[in-house]
Amino acid sequence: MKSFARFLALLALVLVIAPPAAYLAGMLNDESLMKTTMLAGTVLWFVAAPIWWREKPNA
Amino acid sequence: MSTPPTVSDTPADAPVSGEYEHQPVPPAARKGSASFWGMYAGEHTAGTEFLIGPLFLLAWGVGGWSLLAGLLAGNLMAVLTWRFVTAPIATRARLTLYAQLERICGRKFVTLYNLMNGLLFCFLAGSMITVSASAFGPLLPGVAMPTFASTLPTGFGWCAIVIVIGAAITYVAAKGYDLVSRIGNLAAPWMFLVFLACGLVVLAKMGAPGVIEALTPVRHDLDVGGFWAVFFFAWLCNAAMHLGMADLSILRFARDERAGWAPAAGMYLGHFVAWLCAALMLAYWVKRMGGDVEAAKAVSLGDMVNDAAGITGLICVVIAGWTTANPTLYRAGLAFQAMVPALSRTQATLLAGAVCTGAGLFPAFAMRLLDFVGIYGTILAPVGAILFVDFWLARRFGIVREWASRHQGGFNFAALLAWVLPLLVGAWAYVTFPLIKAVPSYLVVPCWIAAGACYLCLARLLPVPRENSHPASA
Repeated sequence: MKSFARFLALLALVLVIAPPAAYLAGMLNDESLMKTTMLAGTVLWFVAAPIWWREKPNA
Repeated sequence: MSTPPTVSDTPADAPVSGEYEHQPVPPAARKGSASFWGMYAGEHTAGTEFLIGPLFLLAWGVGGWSLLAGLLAGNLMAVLTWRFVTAPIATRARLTLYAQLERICGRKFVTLYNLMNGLLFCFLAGSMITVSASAFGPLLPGVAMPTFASTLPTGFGWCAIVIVIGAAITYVAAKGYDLVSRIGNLAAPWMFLVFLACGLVVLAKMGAPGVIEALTPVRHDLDVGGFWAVFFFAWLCNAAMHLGMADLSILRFARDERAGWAPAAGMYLGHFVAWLCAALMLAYWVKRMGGDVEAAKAVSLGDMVNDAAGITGLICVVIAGWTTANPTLYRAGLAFQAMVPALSRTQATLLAGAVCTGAGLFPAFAMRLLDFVGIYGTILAPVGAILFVDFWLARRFGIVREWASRHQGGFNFAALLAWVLPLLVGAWAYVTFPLIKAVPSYLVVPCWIAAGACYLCLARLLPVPRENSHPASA
């Protein structure tokens, strides 16, 4: 579960930064799509990262 | 420098608490350098970074090269100061600034320091509330939002938003801000990427020139030092933390001095990349307005961020402002409580929250953040010079170390004069010289050095304690 959450969290960060980078590189021209993808990445980050960062309860 | 004192100099009967507020941090509670890198990276990527970048261009008229070189060099100096001034004392004494000040200057001096600290924290937190509230502009088009040119509240709607946010932040701070602190840590990597995203998007909208080319000066009527203004600001915007020694509270938990390099994460991610990206947003809006700076100043921060990153950017503004305002407000509450012990922590935090929210109503504090941060450092940093002299130079120059602890907590007038005299000269310079008024950060280092020198001279006039009056020698 934790490693899957880590994968999703890292994917989320990619979704936040890759669209603006593609927009700068001219590979993405749809500004609305860029912003929507960033928002999806944001939501995914705040869902997945807490699970990834959750500490194991003390035995 | 003389051989520094060791932990064994500390009183054996100091009260013990979980945070080791009056006792040296024991080896078991110490942490490796890695713990500090993430903390500093998060702490220095805050809501106010959205303002500081644009203000370099608007208030100081600096251009690309000055900004880039000034930030690189100034942030390097800040890191070196943390590493070679703050960390060595933190990892030897392992006490908070407050505990050391109490030993040197007495409890009443700490109360005075707390008053200044608490008030300045309130205005800083107020600026953060202003930043958070500005994010609601694009969502509430009927509400007049402050712009970079605003100084007074912009209307009832604005006041209502600030009061609601201020009340919420105060409530959370009064209840304990663990949750917000956790959200702050969680948001840090994402927040940094949103800053970066804003920079990339506006670069694209400007036709993708290089950063230097994009940041051509937008104002040619200002000459406040260009590179030097940025250099001193970047170096000294956290002067209260490094030269002023407030970060002894953090770095005393470090296993060794190398943790002093950790602020580099905050400086080069927050105070370099984030400031540059925020400055790019303003440069883009000046270009979009056909070079009309006044028209660009009339655009609110929320609209700028919304244009670059949409809802994600607005969420970032709210979280960045909120998560940094909360601990600041909490610390202000603690400072007030230390000043008036009859107040409960909740009452003190509510009082601090009311002051913060009042300050947040006035955009002047946020829009003149460059001035405020310089004044903040100038007022608080000299206290660190007194501690520095006491720690490293006292024995060499024949001064009584930790004077107050050897005088049953008496008031150290030499320290008070050493703090106040340079500030009075600094205040005179501030009102006399337009360059100093434009960039108060120029005052920080002279005041720090003057305070140290004054204490070195004045401490010789203090009454010498009896041999057996030090608690450690009992």
